[in-house]
Amino acid sequence: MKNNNSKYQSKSGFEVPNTYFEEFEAKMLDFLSEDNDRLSINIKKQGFSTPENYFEKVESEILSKTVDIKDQSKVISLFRKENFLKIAAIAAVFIGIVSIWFTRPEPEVTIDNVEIAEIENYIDTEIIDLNFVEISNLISQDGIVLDNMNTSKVTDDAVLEYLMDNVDDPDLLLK
Amino acid sequence: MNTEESLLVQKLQDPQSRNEAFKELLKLFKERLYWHIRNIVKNHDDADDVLQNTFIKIFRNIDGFKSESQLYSWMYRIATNESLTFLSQKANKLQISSEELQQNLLNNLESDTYFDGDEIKLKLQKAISTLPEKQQLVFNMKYFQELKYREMSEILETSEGALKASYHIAVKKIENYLKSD
Repeated sequence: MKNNNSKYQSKSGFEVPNTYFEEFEAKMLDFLSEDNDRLSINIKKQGFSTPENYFEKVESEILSKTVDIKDQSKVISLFRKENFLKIAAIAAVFIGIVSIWFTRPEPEVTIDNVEIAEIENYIDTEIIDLNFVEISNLISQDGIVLDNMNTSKVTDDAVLEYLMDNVDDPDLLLK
Repeated sequence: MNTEESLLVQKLQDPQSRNEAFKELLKLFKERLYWHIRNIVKNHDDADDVLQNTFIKIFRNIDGFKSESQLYSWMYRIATNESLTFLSQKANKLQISSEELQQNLLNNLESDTYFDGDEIKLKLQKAISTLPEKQQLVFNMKYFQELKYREMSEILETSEGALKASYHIAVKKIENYLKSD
């Protein structure tokens, strides 16, 4: 048996030529390069071509975007133009919203703007605490307070007829 | 995965040897991936963009590569996905359908500096562009790149039987197109 210095000694009796593994590597690279050539020939048959020395150029371009970029420590400036524009845009929107909100004119509140139902609800829920005298003082019809109305022209029969027609609970009339 | 390939993967996943191994990988596969991409996107400048993006993605994601699949099929898969995504983004940007985009690519091919304006070659490209996307891929990989069905099956994640059927149908359609024209 041939004595060689390989650390993987074959116990099965199989041997390889002396320079097999060195040659294998070269053969493999040749094969891959032939494979590339074969591919290029096929591609030429298709009609496609590339600019001169494209593959050398693209290799260094890809390396500059991968391997080489990793070697440099990345420093990101806080005051980059894109960041500045983003912050400026957000600030402008914020200022716009705030200025519209605070400069909006408050709607004028008058008694004419308030719904009657709102006033009734306000009184019914006893948010405003009025006694009967105060309420009767406030009762008005077409803006004229009833207390101030001249009722001398209204006959008793007319009043009785009105009450009979409009009051549902006759007990109230007895009181 | 063979020994050389698994050794290369080990080197690529080891931060100490990654850069050197990546240079080797780039040397070995740049041309093959370029032509694979060029067959799909047709135009040289587009192929250049997609090739660079493909290698950047390979470099960034090599740690996530599982040795259950072959390295070359993983890289071809990335290149295929990048190319198809590129085309669909281009169609969206131009607001046209993928069929209209194929027609655009062919029209541009006639005036492309990096395309030999031979009538037969152009006719073949026109015939290929009439095929559905998957059949185009299968036809290009088999006919021009001479990949084996086993390799194509790993790249496209489709059974060998389905690929054979797909190639057969693609060839028939191309023959009919060329005869009828």
